Amino acid sequence: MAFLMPLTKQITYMQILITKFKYHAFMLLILSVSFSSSSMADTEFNDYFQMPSTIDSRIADQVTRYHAEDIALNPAQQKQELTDLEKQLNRMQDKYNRDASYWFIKGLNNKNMAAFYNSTGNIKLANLHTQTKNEDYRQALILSENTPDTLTPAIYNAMKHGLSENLKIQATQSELSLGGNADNESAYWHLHWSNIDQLKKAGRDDEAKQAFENMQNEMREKNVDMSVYGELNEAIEKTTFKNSATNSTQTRKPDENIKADSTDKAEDEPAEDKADYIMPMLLFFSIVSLVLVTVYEFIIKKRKK
Amino acid sequence: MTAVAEILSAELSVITSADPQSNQNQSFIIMKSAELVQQGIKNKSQQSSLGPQTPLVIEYTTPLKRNQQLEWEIKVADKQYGTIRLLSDFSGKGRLLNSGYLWKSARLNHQIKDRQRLIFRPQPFAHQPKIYKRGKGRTGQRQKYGGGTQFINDEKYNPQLKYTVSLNILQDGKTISQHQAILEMDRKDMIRQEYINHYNIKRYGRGENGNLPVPTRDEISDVPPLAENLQGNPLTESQYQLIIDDGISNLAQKINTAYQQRIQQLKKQNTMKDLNQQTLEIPQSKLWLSSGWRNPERNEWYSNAVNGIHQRGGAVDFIIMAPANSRESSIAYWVLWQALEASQHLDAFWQLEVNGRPMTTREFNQDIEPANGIPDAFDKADHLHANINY
Repeated sequence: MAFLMPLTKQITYMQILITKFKYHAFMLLILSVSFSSSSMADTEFNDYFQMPSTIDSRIADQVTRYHAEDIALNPAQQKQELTDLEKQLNRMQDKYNRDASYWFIKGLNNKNMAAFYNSTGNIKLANLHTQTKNEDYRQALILSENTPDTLTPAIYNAMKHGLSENLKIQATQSELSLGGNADNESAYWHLHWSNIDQLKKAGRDDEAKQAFENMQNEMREKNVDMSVYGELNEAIEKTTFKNSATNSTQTRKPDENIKADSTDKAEDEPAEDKADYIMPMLLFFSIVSLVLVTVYEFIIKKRKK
Repeated sequence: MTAVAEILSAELSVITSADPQSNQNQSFIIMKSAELVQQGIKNKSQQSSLGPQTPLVIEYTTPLKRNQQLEWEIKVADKQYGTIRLLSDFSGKGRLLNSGYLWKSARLNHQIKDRQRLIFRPQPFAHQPKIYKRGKGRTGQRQKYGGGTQFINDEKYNPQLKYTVSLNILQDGKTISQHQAILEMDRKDMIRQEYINHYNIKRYGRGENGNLPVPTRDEISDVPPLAENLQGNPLTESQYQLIIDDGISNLAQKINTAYQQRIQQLKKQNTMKDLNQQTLEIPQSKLWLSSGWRNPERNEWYSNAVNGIHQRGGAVDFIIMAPANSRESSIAYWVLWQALEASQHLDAFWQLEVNGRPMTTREFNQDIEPANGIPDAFDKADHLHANINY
């Protein structure tokens, strides 16, 4: 079980093996260290979006870097790299067609491309990639509609901007169902308010009322300090419900695109979770390697005799 | 929760700590014997080394008669914590009770030296991170992203240690008098113990491990009232009803004032324009103080920033009191940002945060969906973080 040990212990353990099994064990050392370091690495994607990538993590990490960090390449090189990433993502589309996180990463890359073209003044291409990004995110939301926990609150939060009303509501509700993402309680309750407000603005009054009741029930269950959060409840009543009651003629109805969103539901199919396979795979490879080395050594010894 | 432990018998003298204030309250903190950590957490505090504290010493001060014997007992409030190392040279034994661990000495002859003095040291306990991930995570449980608890003594992760020491005086095998002293961590020492326990904890992901100094008792104070016109939490989400305030009260007030003044100014001028030069509605929303000082357990519950400035009492978070990511909220964050940029008297650092982490410069500057006339950063922000300059 060498790969489960800290690196220093692994090395000591492997040194003993090396003396016993000489060069063959060295292969096992390399195998073990390379597997353990790759599996334990905290990748960019994982760090930002709080789940392991289901696709090749090098691609996911590079897309995340373009999303979050300043890239020290000239515009031509950036364009080349972004286009390469786009091509790689397109090539894997057939394989990951039903994988919500693939569509999120693909959307994120399109968002990066939109930002790139925007910065170079090519507004036409920027808009095109923004549209494609929204389509990709839409696909991710459709695939995760019945299984929100295939993605994370951080991903739902990142996707919801720029989406149509109903999809934005779905993203917000998925984020809520997973406990929110910000680093304080107030942000979680404000996210509830966001859900209520969006439902109200979409003309889904009964759902908005129900969502408000749910929020209040949850506050009671969690023993939330009402001397602090009472004000928030009052503000929701005052601004979201009373204001919209007086401005009911301004309430928008879901548009045709949104109707299409809601009818175009994907069947419930959980995304493949590669992370669950990493440890058993490592275990399998390490055991097989160890057995092979032992058998090989045994054969060599027999031949010598 | 009892704030101050009691001496129930005037004939027992008790020493609990090298710190005079802790000692006065019969309170204590527990250090590892070989550990030295820095003490003094505030920006301008002079730091000093904090080593192991005095062992707990309980002494019966009244002289005993020749035919009298003593019998000491130590009971801990919690089975999970409170293991002790006896330094007195007594024979005795311990057993586990439902109500707590009990150690009891044999019947001791007081004529042998130091039998009237009981000395023991509470054993240090390791930080026990309860691992969580922000939100409920993929399996419905918080995991692998910080740890900590939301409340005090929640599942014993920041326990309030308490020892009840009893002394029976016996004569001819019968108890003729009983004396008791209760030694208990007060809230200030519970907070300090949290910092000790979180010293050098591992940061998940990238970044340095924890190395915050331990606050002195003087650095922990009562929670000041919230500035006028400011809503939200009372400068801390902690349940201790105490705070480390390294300028957050003042900072919160200044930010709120700058924001309110900017709103008033915009209302007067009525000239707020969006990116497309369309007139914008002036936001009505107030600021909501969402976070101030965090005790380390609380910080660990919500954040991966193990050295985060919130724990120093130097940072505040603000949310716009409007539905998250709504147009009203976006405009108000923009106004707040402008107010801070224009502020001449704010010696502080501030940043927008998204997904519960700082927005990177690249994220802040990207503006690919300007159709609503508001920079994307303000559409996406979930709160504004500000801290005094360290």
